[in-house]
Amino acid sequence: MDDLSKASLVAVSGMKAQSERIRVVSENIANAESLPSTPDELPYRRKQVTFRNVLDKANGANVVKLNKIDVDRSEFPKKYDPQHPGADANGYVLAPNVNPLVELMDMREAQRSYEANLNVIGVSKSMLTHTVDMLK
Amino acid sequence: MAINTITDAIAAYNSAAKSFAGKGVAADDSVQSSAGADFASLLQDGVKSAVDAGKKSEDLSKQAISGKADVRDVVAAVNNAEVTLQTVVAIRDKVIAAYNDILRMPI
Repeated sequence: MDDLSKASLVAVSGMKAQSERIRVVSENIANAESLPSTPDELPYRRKQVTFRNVLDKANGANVVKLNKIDVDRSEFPKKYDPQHPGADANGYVLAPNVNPLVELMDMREAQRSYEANLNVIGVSKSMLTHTVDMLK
Repeated sequence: MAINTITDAIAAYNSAAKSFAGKGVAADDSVQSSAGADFASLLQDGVKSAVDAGKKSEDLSKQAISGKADVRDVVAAVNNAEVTLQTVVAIRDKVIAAYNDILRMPI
């Protein structure tokens, strides 16, 4: 397999990794209001992804894979809501440690990276096609 | 000199065909007396690799329709099949054009 085809393969792995990142971001955004139902329960804990460089031996190229989905161990913010079933004696409920702005930026970053990989596929394909067109 | 460049070109096509088949370039195939055998094996290898790539892309497309395959894998496979087929067709056209040129050559 030539290097330009390998470049597409690597870009595809990047796109897959970024799709999984988008999935995790969407889980965080969707669960931003997942509060505990009793005072001793914990709310939703924010997840974050890490990536890892892996050698694809079959094709001889370094691709990117999702390393693991970790949890964000930062503290839960407290919300004053005495009516909530999860409120403690002082009327505070633990809220998920999800910051919608951070998630938005993460999502935007994943989107840009996905588009960059799409462009790599497009450029490598057009380089290959143009080279083959030299024969015509 | 001219003969040399033609055999060079055929050898290059041949090694391209070998690389389709994933065997690498064979050293002893560089110059052969009969261009017909070269071209036949070249086309055979090239078409075989194009058919393989096409099959792979079709299989992946079928899986994608039933929701089993990743759409990005389908795009990569279809791209690969397209480029392989284009290469085979371009090489075939080029060699057949050279053959026709030789046939039409006034003696």
